[in-house]
Amino acid sequence: MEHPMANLEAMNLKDLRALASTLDIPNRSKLRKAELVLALLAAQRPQRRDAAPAPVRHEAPESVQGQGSSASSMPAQAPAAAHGPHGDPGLPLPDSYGRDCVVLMVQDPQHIYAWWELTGPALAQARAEAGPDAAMVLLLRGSHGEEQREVDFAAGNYYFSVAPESTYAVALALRDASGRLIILAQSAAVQTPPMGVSDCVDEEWMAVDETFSELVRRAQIGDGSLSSAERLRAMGERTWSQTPVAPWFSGHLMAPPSSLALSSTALSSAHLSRR
Amino acid sequence: MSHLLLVLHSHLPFVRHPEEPVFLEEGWLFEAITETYIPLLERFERLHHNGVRVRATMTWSPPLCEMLADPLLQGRYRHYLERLLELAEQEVHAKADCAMAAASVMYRDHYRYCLQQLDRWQGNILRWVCLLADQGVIEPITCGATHGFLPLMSSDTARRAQIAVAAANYRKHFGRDPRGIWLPECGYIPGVEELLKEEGIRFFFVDSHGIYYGTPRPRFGVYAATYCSNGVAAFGRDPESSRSVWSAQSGYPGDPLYREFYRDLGYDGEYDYICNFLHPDGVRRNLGLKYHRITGKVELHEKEAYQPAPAFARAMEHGADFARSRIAQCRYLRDLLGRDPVVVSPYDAELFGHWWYEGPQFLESVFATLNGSSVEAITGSEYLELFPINQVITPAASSWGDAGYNGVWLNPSNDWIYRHLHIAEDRMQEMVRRYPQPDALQARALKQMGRELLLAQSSDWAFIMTTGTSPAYATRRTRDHLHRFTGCYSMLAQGQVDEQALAGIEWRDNIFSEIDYRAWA
Repeated sequence: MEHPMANLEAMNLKDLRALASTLDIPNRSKLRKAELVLALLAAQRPQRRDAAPAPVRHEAPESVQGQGSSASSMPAQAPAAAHGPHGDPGLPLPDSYGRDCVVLMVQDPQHIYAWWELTGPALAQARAEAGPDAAMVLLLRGSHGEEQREVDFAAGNYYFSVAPESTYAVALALRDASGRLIILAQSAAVQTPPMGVSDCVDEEWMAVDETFSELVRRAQIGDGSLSSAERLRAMGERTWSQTPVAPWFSGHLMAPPSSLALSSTALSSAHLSRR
Repeated sequence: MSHLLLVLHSHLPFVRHPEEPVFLEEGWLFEAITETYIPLLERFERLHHNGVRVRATMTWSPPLCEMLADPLLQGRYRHYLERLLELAEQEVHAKADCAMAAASVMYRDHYRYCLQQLDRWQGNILRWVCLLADQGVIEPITCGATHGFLPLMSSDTARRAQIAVAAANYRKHFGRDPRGIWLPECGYIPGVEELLKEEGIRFFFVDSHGIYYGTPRPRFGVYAATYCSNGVAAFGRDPESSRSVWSAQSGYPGDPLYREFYRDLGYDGEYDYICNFLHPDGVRRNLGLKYHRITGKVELHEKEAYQPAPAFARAMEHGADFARSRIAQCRYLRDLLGRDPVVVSPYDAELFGHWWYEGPQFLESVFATLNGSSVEAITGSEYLELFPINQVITPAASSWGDAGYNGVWLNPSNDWIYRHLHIAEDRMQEMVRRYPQPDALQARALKQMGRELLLAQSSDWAFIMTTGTSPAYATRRTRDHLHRFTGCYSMLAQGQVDEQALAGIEWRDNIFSEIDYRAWA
C-alpha cells in the first residue's frame, strides 16, 4: 500500500498549509515543506476502525439480512464494537447556544418529541418572579385539551404519547405555589399523521398535460387519436435531451373522470371507467 | 397497456477524506460501483442494444454524483480496482483445481470489465448514465442535496435548500432540469410539493400508506399517479412487488444457490496471503471475493462452494417469475379498477449486486420477460405524458422507514442531533440575511456554511446511529460538520473571515462547487 507520506509529498505547499490549518498545526506558516509533511503525519489520527458494509438506507432485505437462511450466525454487519475506544469521536460541539426555545417534532402518529434550550435569560427571570419552589412543567396543548407534566429542564428533551391526526404545541413554564404559569418558551404547532384511510371521498381530478401538443406536432398526427402504443413509440424516438421542458404547470381542476373520458384530451389508455 | 415503473434509488453519503491516504468508508462507494452501478449499466445497455425495452427511473443522489465525478475518488477507485484485480488474478491460479474455480474467473473477468469501463468513460461512469438517459433507457431523477430527511427539518427554508441545491447539482451533472425526485427516505410531509414545484420538479414517490391515507381517498390506490393540489404528481409504492424482493418468506434473494454475503476471502483467506490487500492496519475485513452460496439454513462454516452459472440461471428464472407476477397482477387490477394500472416498484439500487449479487441479472430478466407483453416498462415522465389526468390527493405524511414514519431518524439513539441541526438551520438563514452583499471571502464562508449544514443533515448519519452499524463514524461526521459550520458562522458573526482556516475546510468538504447560499434566504 502507498505510504501516507507519498500522498502528502505530492501536494504543494499551499495545499499542505491548508491541510495544516484544518488540523490546527502550530507555527504552520513558518514550517518548510518537509517539516510540514512530518507535522501532518504526526497530527493525523491513528486509524484503526472497522468499516461496516455500505449502509442500506431502507430496511435491509430480510432475506439477505438474517431472518432468511443466509446469515443467522453472524451479525448483519461487521462488528461495531471495535469502533468504540478507537473511533474518532469527532470535533466538539457547543454545549448550548444561549437561547430560550422549544421545538416539537413528530416521531410517528402516536409520538411526538420536544427538545429545548433554556440558556438565555428566560429561566432566571422567571425564577426571580415565581420563587425558588416553582415547578418546572411542560405544557402540552392539543386538540383534546391541555395537560401539564413536571419535568427536569436539564433533561433537554421529552417524548409524548399522543393521538394521530391531531395538532399539538408545547410550552415550557414555571408553575408557582399558587398554580400560576410563567411561560418560558413555546413551540410551533405540529400535526400528527393519520393512521388510517381518509373519511373524505369527494373526488377531484386534474389534467396536467405538458407535452401532448408537442407530441402531436412531432408525430405529425394532427389530432389526439394516437394509441398509447403509438404515443410510446413517438416518445421513444425522441432523445432524452429533446424532451420538452417548457413550463408545464398548466394543471387545472377537472370534472370527474366519467366525463373526461369523452373529452378530446383523454387518451385511450387513460380511459377511466364510469362508476 | 399496463405499466411497471421500476425505481432504483442510488445513493451513498458523501465520504471523501483527502486528509487520509486510505479511508475505510470510501470503500462503500468503490463496492457500490463495482457490484451495483457498473453491473446495472452494463445490463441495461446490453438489453437496449438487443432491442429490449428498458425503462428505469433512477435516482443519482447529489452526493453520489459528486463522488463519481471527483478526481481524487476516481483515482482512488482505480487504484482499489487494480489491487483487487491483482488479487483476483492470483486467485484464478490458486483456485484453478477446486470447486471455486468458476467464481474466481468470474471475479477476475468482472474487475477487468470494470477497468475497461473506467477507460471508456474517462473514470466517470456518470457519462455512461447520461448516454443511457439520452437513449431513454434511464430517467435520472434527483434527491435531497445530501439526502436530508425533510420531515424532521425545522423550516421550509431548510427543506427548500435541500431541494434547490439538489436541482442545481442535477443541472450540473445532467445538463438539464430534473423532472422527478426521490424524497430522501421517501419522507413526505404536506407542503413539500410546493418546494418541488419551485424547482420545476413534476413528480415524487411516497410509500403505499402515503397514498392510501391521503385525502380524499384515492380512487385507484397506488395504481395510478395522483396530483397534489399544485399539480405535482405523487406515485405510491406497490406493496406486493416490494414484498417479493424484500421478504424473508417469499423473497427471491434468499435462494440457496445465490451467493452468500457473509463469507468473504477477507476472513477466510490465509492471513499472510491476503494481508497485503487489507487496509494498512491489517484488520481482516470484506474484500469482495466471496466463494460460498447461501446453501440453506446452515451455519456459516457449512456453506457450500458458489457456482455462478446455476446462480445466474436461477436469477433469470426469478426475474421471469417476477415479470409474470406483474402481468397477472396488472390483469387483476385492470379488471378491478377499470383503468390500466401502473405498478410502482422502488428499491435501493445497492440491493442489486451489492447485497444480492445476482440482482442485476434478475432485473435483466424482468425487462426481457416484459418485452412485448401486456405490461410495459415506463419511466415517471413517460407515465405522466400518457396519463395526464389524475385524481387530486394530498398524500399523508409518511416515509419508507421501519413503521412508516420518522422513528428511524428520530429516537433515543440519535435525537441529540436535532437541537444542533435546527439551530444551525436557523443560523444559516441568519447569516445569509446579515450579508446580502457579501465580499468574495464572506461569500466563500457563506457557501461553506451551507455545505457543512447540508452534510450534517444527511439522513445516513441518523440512520446508522439507529442501526448501530458504524455509529462512531456517523457521530463523528455529524459533529465534524456541525463544528466546521459553527466555525464559519463564528467568523461571519465576528465579521472576520480567516482565509487560511476557511481554505482548509473548503479543501476537506469540497462538495457542491456550484452551491448558491441564497437558497437559504
